[in-house]
Amino acid sequence: MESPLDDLELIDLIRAGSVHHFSILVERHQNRIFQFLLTLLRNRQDAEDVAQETFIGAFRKLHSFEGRSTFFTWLRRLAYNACIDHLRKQKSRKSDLSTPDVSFLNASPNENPVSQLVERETIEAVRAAIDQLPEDQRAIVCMRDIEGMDYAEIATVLDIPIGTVRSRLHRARLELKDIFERAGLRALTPCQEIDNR
Amino acid sequence: MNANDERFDESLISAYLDGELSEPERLAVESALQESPTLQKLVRDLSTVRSLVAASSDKSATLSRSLQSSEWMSSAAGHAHSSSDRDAVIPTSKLDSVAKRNRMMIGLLASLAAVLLIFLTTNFLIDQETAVAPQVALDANAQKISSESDNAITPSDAREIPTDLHSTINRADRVASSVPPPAASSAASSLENGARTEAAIPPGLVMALPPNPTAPSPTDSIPMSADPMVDLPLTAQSATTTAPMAFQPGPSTSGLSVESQSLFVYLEQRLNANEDGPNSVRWRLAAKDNLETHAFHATQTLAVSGAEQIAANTEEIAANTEQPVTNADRDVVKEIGVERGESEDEFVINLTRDEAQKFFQLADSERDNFSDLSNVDELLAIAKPASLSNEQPLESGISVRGRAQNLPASPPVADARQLRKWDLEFTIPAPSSPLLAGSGNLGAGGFGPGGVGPDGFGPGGFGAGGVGPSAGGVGASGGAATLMEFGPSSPNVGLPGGGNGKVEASEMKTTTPAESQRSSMAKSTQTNNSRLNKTNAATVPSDAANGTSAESGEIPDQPAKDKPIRIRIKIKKEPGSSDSNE
Repeated sequence: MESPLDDLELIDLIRAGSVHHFSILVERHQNRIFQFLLTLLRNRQDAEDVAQETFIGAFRKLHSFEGRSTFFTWLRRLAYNACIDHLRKQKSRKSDLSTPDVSFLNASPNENPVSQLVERETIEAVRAAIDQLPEDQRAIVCMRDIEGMDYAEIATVLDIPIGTVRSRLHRARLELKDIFERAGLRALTPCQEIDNR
Repeated sequence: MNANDERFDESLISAYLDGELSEPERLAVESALQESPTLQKLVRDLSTVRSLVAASSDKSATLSRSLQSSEWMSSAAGHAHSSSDRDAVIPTSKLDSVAKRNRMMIGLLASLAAVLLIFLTTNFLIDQETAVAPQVALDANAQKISSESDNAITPSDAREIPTDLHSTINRADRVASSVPPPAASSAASSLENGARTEAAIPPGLVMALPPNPTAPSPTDSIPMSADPMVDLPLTAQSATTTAPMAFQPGPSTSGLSVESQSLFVYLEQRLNANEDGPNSVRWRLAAKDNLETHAFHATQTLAVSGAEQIAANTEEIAANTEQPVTNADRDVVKEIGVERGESEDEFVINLTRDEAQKFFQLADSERDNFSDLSNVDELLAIAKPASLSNEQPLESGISVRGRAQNLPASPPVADARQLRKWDLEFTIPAPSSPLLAGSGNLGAGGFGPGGVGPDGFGPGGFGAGGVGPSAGGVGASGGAATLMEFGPSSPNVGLPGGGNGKVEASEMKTTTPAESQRSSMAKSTQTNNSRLNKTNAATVPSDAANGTSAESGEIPDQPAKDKPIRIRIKIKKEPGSSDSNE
């Protein structure tokens, strides 16, 4: 379902009582929110669940949206908060977060198995490294380097000053650098790859 | 604020890579980077971290099914109704009525379904034979499965794994490219094509560069002509340039073919070994679009920043040539700017006069590697006064235009990049000083690393330039160009030294006005001509001062300054040469 109306216009309609327009907003943003959550949670089912919670929360709190940021940024902030809640609950249930679900990394049959393997291992190694970061650093790295969010947007989502974003991101990258080096991920840099060719 | 300053905030480095710094902060970081190899390394490391993290993303993942928003809405509506938030914008009465209506509809539908089910069941039991029942049950099951499968994960929902790391990196690149690059550095923007270049270069590359102390002023840049054979306008005359007081040859262009994807990496490596330090010469290889087509940068497909690629390339070359790679080689931050030419197989590089000077000095110093070329010494000797002399600096830069040719893959080689040969064409604008009026014209030296064979690279060697005798009268500025096109040089499989063959000039045209210098040029010209004539050189001088072309006898429309000089030289393989992979 597509609509020529932009987010703010739809929100106005919803606020005026045309609640079914909310489904347009859902359809418009659900995949991006899902990807954002998948980045943070690494589990497809969890990401879907939290995405659902996010949109429910958005529907309930739509009145509090003041338009100071884009609707999507606001939505992403809700998603992040829902994600944190989810992780806390999960932690209390002592779920094993160290074994992220990578089942969605299904290979297509016509690919080179070796390169598949190399890539999968690389990705998993990087993800494992990211998982070792403290929660706040991991979120900020994901938002910046995976989601491509700028510092201001990250600051809005996390509700922290931009300077904190900068310093926290830098610490996270330094930490990742150390982890990569310890894990020998450096071996996946060009020379090795050239040799593999 | 610099790297040694305790107040320097390293977190600026991350923000620098992300293009999130203000202008003063960016300048401070660049200043610090210039002074600190440690910070330069940190930039590269963090850039690699960024790339790897970005490559691990799963941007193709989508929801396996659309979220059931209608369910949430009714749920949320109920919640909103029951919540104590009186500021809710959605009218609770409306939500309430919607929920009530929904409940009524559901109840009605459920009643109808129950009645229908009873009716059908009764009919079924009465009218159908018992034996049919199992099939009906199966059909019902099939229908149920079918309806359930609507929500199943379809193959298209599965995340596609890229075919190899390359595609992963492309994703990383796309993420990286979404990041606004930092503002242009002063050095980078000094290039004429700098603005076009910077957008394509990862933030970690150009922006990590300390300003080039030898960076030219904007007026030093050399606008490229669309036609490589048309001499370039002389906009590169710097006001600060000291006009040579002695003889300065006219403009020239030369070219040669090299069978190496690593020409520029090799050059960088050699130039960085120069006593002046790694930043004395910086090559601008403008990557406007996609360096993948440029063989020497094929490793750009890897998950590293441009600077990392350069370092990796350098090490790769070193591994193949058994040349040690110094830390300076690794740490030097290069400003690379190769501009794609008119086709995918062309590129253009503009060099400042300092870079060009180094270039030819290097060619001079390496000419011993060409002792097996019959007349390279003579050609270089002639070219030297033109561009190799320290006392006679080039007044402006040169441009290099390269075209790739694919070589036959027989026998097969491991790396397809080795099957490319680059025809290089150098263009050196003429000096503009009135003191140089009527200068002669000399061909510049050709240059190229060693041939590449399946087993690695030869350390390289140089072809030599030719010379075109000057003809014509007094010319103020501008001048002709000389093009030397070297045919396929023989590959040099793992052997030091340059191409193995001899130079043969097959065609040469000159149009530079140089009447007043003709006498001073006579000796070398004669020598050169005699040598070139030995190899069927065709010398066609022109006389621009008299407005007469020696070739056609017609009066040219324009002074000879924009007319190119062409010299075609082929390097022939020596009979019985065994080092060819062709």
